[in-house]
Amino acid sequence: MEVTELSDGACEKVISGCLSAAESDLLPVRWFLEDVRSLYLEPVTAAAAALHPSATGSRPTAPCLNDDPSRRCKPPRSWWSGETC
Amino acid sequence: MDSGDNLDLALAAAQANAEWGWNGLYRNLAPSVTGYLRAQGAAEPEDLTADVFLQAVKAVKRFEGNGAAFRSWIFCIAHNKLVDESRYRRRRPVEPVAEPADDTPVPVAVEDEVLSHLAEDRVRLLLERLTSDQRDVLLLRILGGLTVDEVARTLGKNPPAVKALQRRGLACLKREIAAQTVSV
Repeated sequence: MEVTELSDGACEKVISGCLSAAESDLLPVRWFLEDVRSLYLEPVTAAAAALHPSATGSRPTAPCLNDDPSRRCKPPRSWWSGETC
Repeated sequence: MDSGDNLDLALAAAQANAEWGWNGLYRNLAPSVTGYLRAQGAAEPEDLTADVFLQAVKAVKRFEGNGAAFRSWIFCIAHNKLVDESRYRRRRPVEPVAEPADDTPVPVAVEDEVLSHLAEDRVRLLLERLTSDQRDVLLLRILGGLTVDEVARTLGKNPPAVKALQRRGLACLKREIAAQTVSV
């Protein structure tokens, strides 16, 4: 089977995502690589962040179990550390 | 301070037995190691990631280099573990065990689930069209974030060989994607 090779420069552009308009024929390959990243990398990154909320620099919203809006509690300062409403 | 500096600091701290150093290294590298192992079809990618870091903990005192070199080293350990696991599985195939039926209805967005599986199947099928060497190179670059030189060190190849595998791998993907688009 014939294999048409790309130039090294084109490969680096596909991998870095810096494609120009002239290289639009390589966009589907770039999109595929982005799919690979989102499929295999983002779920584990998100899971790691959920396990270590302090690592992300932003705190997750605390779940509030109180259905009465007038009595709804303020978000605790750090619900993962054991403080409760 | 960029992530490279953070990795350098965390590595220095880990080598001095500071727990925060290991936390930093793990937080920084574990997601991409797990992603790499999962994309390569590891049976238990999280467990294998834990093994990778356990081995790194044992050997870190002997490690010489900066954070970037440590990243390559971690992926080298991960790749070797993957090869070992694959050999082990070939020798001892695992019989699938049926899980006990759970009657509790679970609310699932069925459409999302189906689409997600279709996307995963499509990605996996395309990755399977690559040779294992091409797949190693591209996944280390895409998921591991390694440079050509780092991939070469990780896989024990020279940089021109890695570049050739990368060129052929991407050309293969381009061809396969085009063929799929035509057939749809």
